[in-house]
Amino acid sequence: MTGPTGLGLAGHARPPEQVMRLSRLGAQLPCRLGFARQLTRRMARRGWRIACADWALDAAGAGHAVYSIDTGARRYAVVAVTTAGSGPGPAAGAILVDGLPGPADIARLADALRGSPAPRLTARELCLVQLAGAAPVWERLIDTLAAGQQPDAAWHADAGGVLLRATAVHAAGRCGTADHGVLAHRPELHAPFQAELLTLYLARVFARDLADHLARARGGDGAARLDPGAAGRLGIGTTIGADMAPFLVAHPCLCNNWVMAREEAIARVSALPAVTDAQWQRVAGLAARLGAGAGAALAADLPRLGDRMAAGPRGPRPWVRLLSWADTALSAEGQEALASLMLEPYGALVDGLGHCMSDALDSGFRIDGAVPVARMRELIEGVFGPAPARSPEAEAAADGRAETPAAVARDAGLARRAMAGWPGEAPVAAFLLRHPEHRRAIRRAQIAGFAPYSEIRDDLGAEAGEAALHALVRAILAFLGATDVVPQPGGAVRGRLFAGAPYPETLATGTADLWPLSDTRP
Amino acid sequence: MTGDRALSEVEALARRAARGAGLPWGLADEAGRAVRGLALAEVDGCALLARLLAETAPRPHQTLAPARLDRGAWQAADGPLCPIRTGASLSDMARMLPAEGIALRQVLVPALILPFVGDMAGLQDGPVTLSWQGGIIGIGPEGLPRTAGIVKLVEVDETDLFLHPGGPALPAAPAAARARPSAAAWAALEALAARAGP
Repeated sequence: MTGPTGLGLAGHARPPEQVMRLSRLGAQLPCRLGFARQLTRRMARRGWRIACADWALDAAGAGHAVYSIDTGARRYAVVAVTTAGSGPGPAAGAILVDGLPGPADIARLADALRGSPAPRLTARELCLVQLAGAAPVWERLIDTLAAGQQPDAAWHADAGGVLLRATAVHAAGRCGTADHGVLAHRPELHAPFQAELLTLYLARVFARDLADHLARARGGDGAARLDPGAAGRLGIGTTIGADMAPFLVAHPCLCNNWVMAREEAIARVSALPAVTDAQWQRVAGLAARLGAGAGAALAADLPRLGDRMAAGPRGPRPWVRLLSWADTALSAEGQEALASLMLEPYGALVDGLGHCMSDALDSGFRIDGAVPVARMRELIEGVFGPAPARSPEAEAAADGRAETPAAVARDAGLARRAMAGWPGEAPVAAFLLRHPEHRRAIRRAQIAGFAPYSEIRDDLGAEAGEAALHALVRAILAFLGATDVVPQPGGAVRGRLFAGAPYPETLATGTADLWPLSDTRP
Repeated sequence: MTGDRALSEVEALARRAARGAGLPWGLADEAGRAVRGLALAEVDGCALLARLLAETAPRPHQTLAPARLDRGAWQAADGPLCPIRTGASLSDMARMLPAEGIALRQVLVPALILPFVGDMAGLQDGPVTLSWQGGIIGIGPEGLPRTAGIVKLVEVDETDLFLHPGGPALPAAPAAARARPSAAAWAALEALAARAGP
């Protein structure tokens, strides 16, 4: 099999029918290929230089700060501005700027952030993040630091491991930001969501610096700075709303590339003929540490996995053997956690796959109208089976939204039925001329012909509206590399990014990669 | 609101406006992509699409699409051709079109077909020549050129077009980073987009 990026799958690749299930994608744990981790790895390897270039905040915390980012090839900056916000806690906006902003730019961005809930930006700005913090959490922290002390465990628990949460993230043209296309030829930000994640990374830095600033304003020379260990455990809060749930469905090529890169990594590690005790123990140790934060299904799996791994690596391909045992012995959560963790000892083997996770085709793919109708029927059956399994009631329930797995399956079934009366050799262009309502389904089926992981199978049933939304959003968060995810009512999911990650002053190849595996639970 | 827009904003609004005007989603996607393609060449595709949708919205699809694709001349059963529907078929058929070219009868707002001709050139990996009574444009696989011919075609409300593979192509113009839709066109598309539904 070859994907749109030319990525070939090694032997032992798990088939799409197994992987592309809502229940399984939603159960994923972030792995080495997570986009936040790709970013910090690249920052360290390429020696990015990040510095606070301007700090202009008054004693009450009103003002702005500018962080400069020198990637070697280019310069960027994040302008952070404190705003009035909608609640009693601190509020801020952070904007990633292409190049270094002058005073007029900073004034313009500050006005945009303070003036309107939906600010208009320009092609020079790559991402906008709006942030808010909880007033009691900040009050206690500033009081503690101002008194020369460090926050205690109770404070960490109440803070939920974050100082600020992103309430909105806009990029790729939204709010007038630069189009995603400008990043296409910039290797430093080419992987998915790098502009957004870089902005969030600096927002986390700003949150810590703001806390230190306010503590010093209140406590003077006796104030303490937030201890690096405590600061390191804090992430930046992020919530992905139900409105983002259709993202992977709306971008089938991108969906394929994300899943295929991870599956290829799993296949490469599975194919290893020998595993050292150290590698084996490392994965076992990481799995054991998942315990405290695991959901019920995973928590039940972990002792079984621990027992099994205690016997050490066995057989000619120990990871394959362990995975196939897990297929029947563990839940989908347990299997996916194991699949993600077993990549850990093999950075040199799998990290390069991160380059294959961007999309080149979702906007560019053109239907080949010469493909015969008979072949189109085969392509649809190849993904969704010989007949649409869904009942008319289920199809009606999926109606109204075009971009859910259930609606995609329904539309594919409708297209297949509409082709039933057509001669098999007719070019699909002729069919589409009569039936333009099936154009999306035909396009997707042609994409599925070369992108095996482009279509998600809805296996949660028509009743599971909110569960389906949660699964779709959790999958996105897992690929981003978010931890501590908590589903919210209505389909949104909350999580943390960069918890445990080094701040710029300690960012180095030794610290930049392993932070998602550190224990940062509040 | 005037001023510049991100290309993705223009594409998203054009897609929803086309959907709101009654096109199925798959064709609405094509309309959005075409408007974005025109913006890359500094043509206000929003204004063109607003003109087209005002004309075509009340008419059923089948009267606006080519009646058949297996002839040297494509025409609607009765009346003019819609450039989005015709352009989508051109793109679908790009690998099968006759070497001697193809005539398109009575194309409404014909400049909207330019991005699809660009697709044909890309899929055939060679230039395509587009001509009408009043102008001729050579379009290469790398993108639309910036030429007086396009400026003239933008002014045309309805015309016959002729396309054939080959001919000299002008070099593609550097892509514009932003779109500058007219305020009136933007407002017209927003009104249509409000009817698009989920």
